[in-house]
Amino acid sequence: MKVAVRPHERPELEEGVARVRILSYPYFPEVHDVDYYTAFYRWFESHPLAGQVHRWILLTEEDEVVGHLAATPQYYRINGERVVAHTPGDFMVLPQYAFHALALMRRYYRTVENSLAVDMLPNVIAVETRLGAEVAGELQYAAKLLDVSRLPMPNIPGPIGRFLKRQNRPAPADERMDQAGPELPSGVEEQAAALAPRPRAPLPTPVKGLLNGALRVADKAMLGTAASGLKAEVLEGFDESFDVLFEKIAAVVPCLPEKDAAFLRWRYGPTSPQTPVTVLAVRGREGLLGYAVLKVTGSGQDGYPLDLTVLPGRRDVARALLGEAVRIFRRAGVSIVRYRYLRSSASLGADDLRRLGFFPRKGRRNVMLVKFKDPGLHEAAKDLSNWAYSIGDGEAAFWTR
Amino acid sequence: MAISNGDARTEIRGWLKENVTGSGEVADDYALIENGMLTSLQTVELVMFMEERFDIVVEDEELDEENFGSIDAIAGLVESKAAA
Repeated sequence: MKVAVRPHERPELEEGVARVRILSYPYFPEVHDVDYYTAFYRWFESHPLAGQVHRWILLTEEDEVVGHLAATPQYYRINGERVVAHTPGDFMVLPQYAFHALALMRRYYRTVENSLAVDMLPNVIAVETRLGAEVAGELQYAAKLLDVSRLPMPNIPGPIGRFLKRQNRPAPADERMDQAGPELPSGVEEQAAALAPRPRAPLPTPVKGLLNGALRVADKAMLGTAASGLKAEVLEGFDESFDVLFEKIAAVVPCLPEKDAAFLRWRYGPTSPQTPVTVLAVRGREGLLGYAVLKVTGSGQDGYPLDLTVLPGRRDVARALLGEAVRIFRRAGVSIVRYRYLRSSASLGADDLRRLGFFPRKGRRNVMLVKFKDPGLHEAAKDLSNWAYSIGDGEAAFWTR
Repeated sequence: MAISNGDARTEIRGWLKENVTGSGEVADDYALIENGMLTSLQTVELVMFMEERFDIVVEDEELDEENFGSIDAIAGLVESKAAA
């Protein structure tokens, strides 16, 4: 059957897009929440570049939607120049039309002048690079365990293990999750894990209590050692001091999203898909020194620092922010803190994270891909060390709930 | 570089067998895309193979159903590119 890429301009086809989303992500119940996606695109209408949002669909001759791709624009500051770049997102194609995914992505790269993508799926990355995007590098991923309740019981040999297994025999249905699943988009792994049954029996309650107690004690010690005397406070919103901080960072860092106060108000305001968030800030005599934006997922089990940005070189500020973030996540009952970030002068270093009890995760890392029309801008953007970037800055975190 | 349609057909058939169909045989006029056999990623990999093996450059606009719809079509594309 003939399939063509068309601009998504007919509201009556939105139902078809929702159907493709549901069929493409059968393991992700949230996609049934059509209102969420409607609200997402409505939210983007309040962005200053709303007129440059593109959506395309793959349409059969019988007017059936079999694929979708959106392009969302943002302002970036590259080598001191304000530049608009788009990011592909909400990309899905029904399996039997998989070949045509290439046509959708090709339409994207032909339409947009500049592109910045933060992706995880090898298939998508391969298609993007084939169409001219260049891999700038990988973002880091570190996690910190606050509560062991979601952990399956490890294999303990001997009579103790046998005793514990007898106490916690898994239900047969749980075994399904032991099989290797498909590659999932950013954030899906965690959310699917939160919703799906665990593969093995949970830890017995007394063991959980013991381990959680030990984690709390270790945390208190680690956060105490890492304390720098700086105080992170919770803010209600983003005032003009965020404009000043952004300009100070942009004067030093060659590539970054334009995160002034207006952007942050839009990004994390009441109509944002990630609302509610907690905003933390550290101030000094010279004004705002850094801030963090924290999100607890709807399940309450995962905590995400969506943004953590400090004056370049002020790792003490970054440590104070992340330390306070851990305390807030713990108070909220979060089990695990998942921090995806780019190592830069405006964020934390690996040592800082270790000191705060985070462990690096090698898999499930996001890859930044860039394609800028101007060769000079592209040259700067393809060097990851030129960037300051947080996962919440763009599309990769738009779907975190 | 002159490439006969037969050469290209044999090479593409071999690549598909190794990377897509496994032990299954595919007729030269079998509708690869219509039958959902060739995904985007496989097309990307096939293009990389073609460019390397036949010393040709496949343009983005040539990545469509018409040129990749069957082994016959792909072989035809290779032949026309090599002759250009």
